[in-house]
This record gives sequence, structure tokens and C-alpha cells, in this order.
Amino acid sequence: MSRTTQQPASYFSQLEQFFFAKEAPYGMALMRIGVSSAMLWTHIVRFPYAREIYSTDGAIAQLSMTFGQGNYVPELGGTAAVALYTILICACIGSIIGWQTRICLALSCLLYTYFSMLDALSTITKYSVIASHLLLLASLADSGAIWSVDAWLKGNPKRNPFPSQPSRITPTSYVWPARLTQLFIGIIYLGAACTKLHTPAFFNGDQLKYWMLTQMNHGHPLGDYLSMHPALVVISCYIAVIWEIMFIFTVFTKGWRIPMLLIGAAFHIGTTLMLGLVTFPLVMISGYLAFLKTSDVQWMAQQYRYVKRRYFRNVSIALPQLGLSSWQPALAHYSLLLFSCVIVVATSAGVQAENWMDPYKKRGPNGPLQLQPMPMDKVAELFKQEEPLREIDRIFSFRLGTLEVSEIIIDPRTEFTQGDLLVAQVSLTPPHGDMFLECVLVDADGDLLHQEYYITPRDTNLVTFRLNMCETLLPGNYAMVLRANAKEVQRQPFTLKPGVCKVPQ
Amino acid sequence: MIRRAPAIAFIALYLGILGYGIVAHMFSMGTGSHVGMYYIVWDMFCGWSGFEQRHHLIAEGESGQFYDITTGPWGDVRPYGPLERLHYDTYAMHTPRIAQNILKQTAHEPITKVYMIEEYWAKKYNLPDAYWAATHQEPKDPKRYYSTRMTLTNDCQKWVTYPTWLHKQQYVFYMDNPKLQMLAKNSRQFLRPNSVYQANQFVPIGTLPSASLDTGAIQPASFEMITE
Repeated sequence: MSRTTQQPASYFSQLEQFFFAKEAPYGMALMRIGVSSAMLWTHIVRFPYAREIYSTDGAIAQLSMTFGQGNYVPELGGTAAVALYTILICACIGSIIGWQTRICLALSCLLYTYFSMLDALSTITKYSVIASHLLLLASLADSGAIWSVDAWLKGNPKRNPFPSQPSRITPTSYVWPARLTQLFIGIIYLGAACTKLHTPAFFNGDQLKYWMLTQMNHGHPLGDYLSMHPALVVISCYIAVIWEIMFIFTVFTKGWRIPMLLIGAAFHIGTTLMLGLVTFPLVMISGYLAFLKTSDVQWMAQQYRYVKRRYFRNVSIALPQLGLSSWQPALAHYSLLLFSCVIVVATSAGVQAENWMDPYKKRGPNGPLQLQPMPMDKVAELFKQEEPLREIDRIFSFRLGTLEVSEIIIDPRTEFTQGDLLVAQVSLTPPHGDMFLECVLVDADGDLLHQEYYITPRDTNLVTFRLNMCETLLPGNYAMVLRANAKEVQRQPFTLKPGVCKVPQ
Repeated sequence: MIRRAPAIAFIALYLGILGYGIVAHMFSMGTGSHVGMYYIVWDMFCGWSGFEQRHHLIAEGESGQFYDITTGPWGDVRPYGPLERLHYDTYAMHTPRIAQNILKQTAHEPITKVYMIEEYWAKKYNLPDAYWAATHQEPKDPKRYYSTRMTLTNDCQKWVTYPTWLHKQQYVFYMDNPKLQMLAKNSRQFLRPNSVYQANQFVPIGTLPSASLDTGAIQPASFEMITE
């Protein structure tokens, strides 16, 4: 009787299994649809301005110029640029519906990278770079094998299977493009964490606070609110960095994968509410779809069927019968030719449409648009002599409280009790230069009771004064006055209530 | 295995390139050395200053009349929010070409000069009024600071460039130091050739993109300056 012992898999075979296992490409197919849909929106928004921002008939702003390397990619004339941009839009639509999927994804990646390189001001940003990577990896995967026109054209209805159908009829392919996508996303987070570690102002919340207040992105109601609660910002900064570093090391382990992805999705949705980012979260969450396994998709399909049976038993959606089945063999045979014809026709239509839109409005009744003179008072305002920075503009906030977390007040208040340790905190807006800050306690009549000062160097952005509110200070109304360089800049009134002094006198 | 060779080669190459980007970024080594680095360095968290910045592009006609050409009269793409394209040109590198295009596509009297003016205000004034009232005793009184960043010739070539308003503020603070002031007075001024950008043309140091002087790393899609 022979006894077999199971040898542990070698690192090589584990690595081989990691990259060359075969799975149904559900995740990559969903990612293909998600990323291409997000990109299609950005392309459509820019189409009317394609001539202006991508052609020599406009104002190209090549990324390479910013790196001091001259013009790196060729610049085309207006019509050629619009034609190529139309092809990009067609390729994007082709990627979504999965018609000539690989060609469309490759074209999308190539053309989007080209146009991004041409426009450092309004096209290239980190989400466009990430999208280019994702499109490249999707083009290498067999992402058009399911849920696509290509699958339908292959003639086998089982090529577009419902995920809970038996796996023997589901097409499978190597997982290495999905693995590269997953590693790529992990590396992005690792890089983002490096950036934050290089930025000291990140950990005191300053960077995020100013980002949340900026009006260069879309609206961000949660950002405005959070900027008033710096302690929360600091805590979330630390959580973000820890999560970013952990991501790549945990997302491939069984128990951590789903929680890390859910936290990530929440984090990216949070950037919409806090920072006003829209396309970036869409691209990243689409990238997350590459983490889906066959079993995940099958589980979701089962849930969908359960909900449908339980709550929508009598609801049936009759899909229109287009009668294309009889055309299927012919369409499949001439698919590439038909695709080429569609591209040519769509490109011509795009060029004509752009010409009809007359982007510079040169064909109006009076010819090219006339520049309108500026009001002279506006001119005078713009060209007036530069003024020195006001003291008040060097101060971001002046708050009173009693508790500090990470050196930041977490309980801003206007009422104190005798015995409290009053903390008065000044947050400065850089660049503020060296400053002489005074914190003055005055009573209801304006009489000076206590004074502290601090010579603030130019690299200090947070100054804290502390005052023991003992029995020597009678209950009543007071104010803490902040003076910067001998000028009063802010005043915080507060009420002192009777209490017991716990601090030794 | 042989059939997998191209895939293995691609995997190794791709991960190698991403790994190089991470190492370069981690050790701040050559991240601005090549345009391709932008595709492998993940520095999304760029510097955000405490001041909001806007740009104005003003053309001066022969008659002495001024024209606002910040955006073309046909409208402008608003790529990431409510702002037009010019406002994202943090380093003012592409401004001349934008001005040139707007003048080329419109009807106007002969132009003698074009000015690029920066506008700044403290970001605390971006707080919605309700939040401001809840946290501040004093009324909201934003002050806008204007500073000429660049003057262009009538054909939109760079004529004179100045440091950004934020950098000017830092110079002002440094110059508050009497010792520094004396040293600056006594040292001779020097110029250096800006060979990277414009051959055979000498420009003051302050006209180079600030980030390249500070760190060697330019973050082109970083919409705001890094400040200390």
C-alpha cells in the first residue's frame, strides 16, 4: 500500500498559478465597460473644443513642455485632430459594447494617451494616466469574450452566459492581465502614500484643508464642512495613509480582499463629496472591478435572481426582438469590414458636425467674433499697485477649546467653567512670514487681564496659547483677542461659568 | 512555457517599469527627468496653498483700450469644474499660445501688449456664508491681490516675466531680514541662460518654473504651487 504525501507548492508554481490560472473574464469585462463609459463622458465634453485644445489651429499645451523637453508628440491640423478625436470616441463606444473589442481598446489607449500628452491643462491628470494603463491592460485581456457584440457574433448564445450558469459553458482565459491591473492599483496607492509621507503639511491636515476649500474642482459640500473640523481631517489623513500602504499587501489575502475594496470604494466616493472629484473615482472604482472573481459575480447573480423571484415575480421585461439572428453569420463574417466602414462614416460625420458647429464662430453675420473692451474700473483694479498682505489674511482661524488631539482643538466652544484649561489656537495661512502674535484676555469692559505672546517663525503654521481659568477669574463674559504684528485681527468672546479649580495655583 | 514567453516578458517589463516609478518617487530621484515619468509616478497629492489663484489675460490695443481675453468669446472648456482652461496653467507656460490663439481667431484693433495678471485671495473666504457666520465673529471681507505675472509682445512672445505673487510674498519676508537685505545689495546680480526653454535668450532666474528650481520635480497637473 503506497502512501502519498502532499508536497507544498513551490514558489514558482504558486507564481505560475497566480498569473496563469484560467478564469472567466467577468472582472475585466466589467472594467472594460466601466472605464470606457467614464472616458466616453470626458471625450464628449471635450469634443466641441477638440480643434482648440488638440490642434495647431488652437492652443496646444504639450505635457513635455512642462518637463522642459520641447514638443514630444506630433501636432496635427484642425481637421485631422478632430477626425482622430472622433475615432477615439468611436473606439470608446466600441469598447463599451464590445465590438472588435481588442482593436477598440488598443485604439482608445493609444489615442487617449496621445491627446493627453497634447494637453497638459485640461486633459492630462492622474485619472487620465490611470485610465490609459487600464485600457492597455484591458486590451491585453480577453475582456471581449463575454458580454459583448463579439461574443454574440461568434454564434454561440452561451458566449454571453448569465453568471450563475454552469462554469463549463463559460469562456475562460489567463488571469495575468487582471493580476497586473490589481497590482497596478496597489502600486498607485503605495505611490500616493509615498507622496503623503514626503509632504509634512499633510499630517497636520493643512494640505487637505486647503484642498477641500479650493474652488477649482466641482462642488464639495462635505469638504466645506470638514475644513471647519481640522481634528477630523487629521485623523482621516492618518487612516488614508495606513490604508494606502496596507492595500497591496492585504488585498490578495482571503479575509481582507472585500473589506479593503469596500473601504477603497467609500474613500473614492468620499473624494467626490469632500474634494469635488468626479471622473477620478469613476475610473478607480471601474479599476476595482478587475478584482472580481468568478465566484463573486456568480454570487451577485444569485442574489439578483433571489430578489427577482422574491419581490418581482410578476414583473417581466420583454426585450425587443430585432430579428438579427438570421443576419448573425453574415455580420460575423464581415464584422471587421463593417466596423471599418462605421469608423470611416462616423469620422466623416464627426468632422462635418464640428465644422457645422463652427467652434470659433467665425461664420457669424459679422465674421469672426469681436473682442469687447473692458470697463476701465476693472482694468484699474487689475493693474493697481501691488498691496502688502493684510494681517487678517495670514490667519486661517482662531479657536478656543479645552481638548487637543494631535495638537488640534477638538471641542471648539464659547463657554468655559472655572477650572478649565482654556486652549486658544491660531492656525496660520502660509506664506505668512515671521510674525509677532499676542493673545490677550479682556473682560466685558475691554480691560486687559492677561497677555501672552509668541514670536512665530515663518515655517510654523499652528500656535497654541494655554490659560488656566482659575478662581481668580470671576464668572462672566470675556473675550480672547488675537493681535498679529501689533494689530487686532480677531476676537473670540466666551462666557466663564462658576466651577471648581482643579489646577494647583 | 514557450507560448507563455511573450506574456511573461510583458509581465516582467510592466512590473519593472512600475517598480522603477515607485523607487524613483520614494527617493525623489529623477521624477521630473522625462515626460514618461508622469505615467509611472503617483504624486496625486500635490501642493495646495492657502490662497486661491485665478489668471487674467488682458490685451492692450493701440487705442489704449483693454480687452479681456482670459477665455475666447466663443466659450471655453471647463475640464474639472467651474473654471476655464487658462486657470489650470499654474506655471504660466502655455499662456502665450492661448493668447495667440484667441487673438488669431477674433476681430480686434492692433494689439500692442498682452498682460497675464494673477489674482489671489485667502482660501478661508471660500467657506460658505453659513459656516463663516458660525465660526467667525467678524464679517466676511475677502481682499483680492493682483500681480502681473507676465507681459507678452504684440505677437504673444514672452517679453517680461515675474515671479508668482506667492513667491513674491516669500521674497518680501526674506527681505525683512536686514542682514539678508545687505547681502543682497552687496552681491552682484547674475543671469543665467535659460537654455532648456529658449535658446540664446537670457532670462532672470525667477522666470523658470518654480517647482523645477525647488525640487527638480514638476507636477504639471498640480494646479497650485507648493508653498512652505
